[in-house]
Amino acid sequence: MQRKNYYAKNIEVPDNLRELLLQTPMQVSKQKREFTIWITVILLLVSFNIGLYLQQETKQQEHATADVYQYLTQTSYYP
Amino acid sequence: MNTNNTTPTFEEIVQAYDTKVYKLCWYLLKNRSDAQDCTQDIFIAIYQALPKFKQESSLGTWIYRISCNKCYEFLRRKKRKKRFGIHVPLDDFFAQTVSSHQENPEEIQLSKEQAIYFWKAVERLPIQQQLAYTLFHLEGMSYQQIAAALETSLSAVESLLFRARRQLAKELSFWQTN
Repeated sequence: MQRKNYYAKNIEVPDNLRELLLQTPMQVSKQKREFTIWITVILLLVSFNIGLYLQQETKQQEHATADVYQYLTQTSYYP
Repeated sequence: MNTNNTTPTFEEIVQAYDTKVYKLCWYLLKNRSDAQDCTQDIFIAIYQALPKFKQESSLGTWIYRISCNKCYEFLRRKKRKKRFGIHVPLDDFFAQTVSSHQENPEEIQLSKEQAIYFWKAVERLPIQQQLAYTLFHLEGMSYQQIAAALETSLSAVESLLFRARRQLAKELSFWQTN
């Protein structure tokens, strides 16, 4: 078979490729900024949820303590 | 590019390697938009890794190592997509004939078909073999350079190229007999 080098053809490089690649530093810093914003938002949401959970737990605990106190002081079964 | 031992700036790297990296991506991914996306990803990786470049290997080898890793990721993603039925067709460029001595339209058509068959056969090769074969034929890299770019041993490169050539020869001889 005749040997052919299929890789020998000249390819067409996009005109704006170099300009696009030279913008990489700006793109990277933009990505970093976006990443920081996302992480901050996620951390805020998580801490807000933890806060809500703790508040609810404390409330439940308070209710339970009040119920127990009421039961112990106001029922006839109190020894 | 700087001739002394200092690390070149990112702009110098872009000016020296943009076309080479794009060419590599183009021949590996065989699609314009994929090649452009991959080239951008490669240069982002280069920019981020540049402060850590210790000049233990040559700059070219280091760039090809990053390029190969990124292309490997892209090719894996492409193969996965293909498994799910998403097929990206070959660019028209790959149907172009190599030799210009064809005389009649029938010969040209046959040559086009052969070119498509060849590129599809290359696409079917395992990714490591595709990388080694492309680096060897596109850049004319030595086995040592390919081994450094693929982070593997010299004997592994020899084996990869041997298996790739054997497979391609088998597929092309099948095309000729049919």
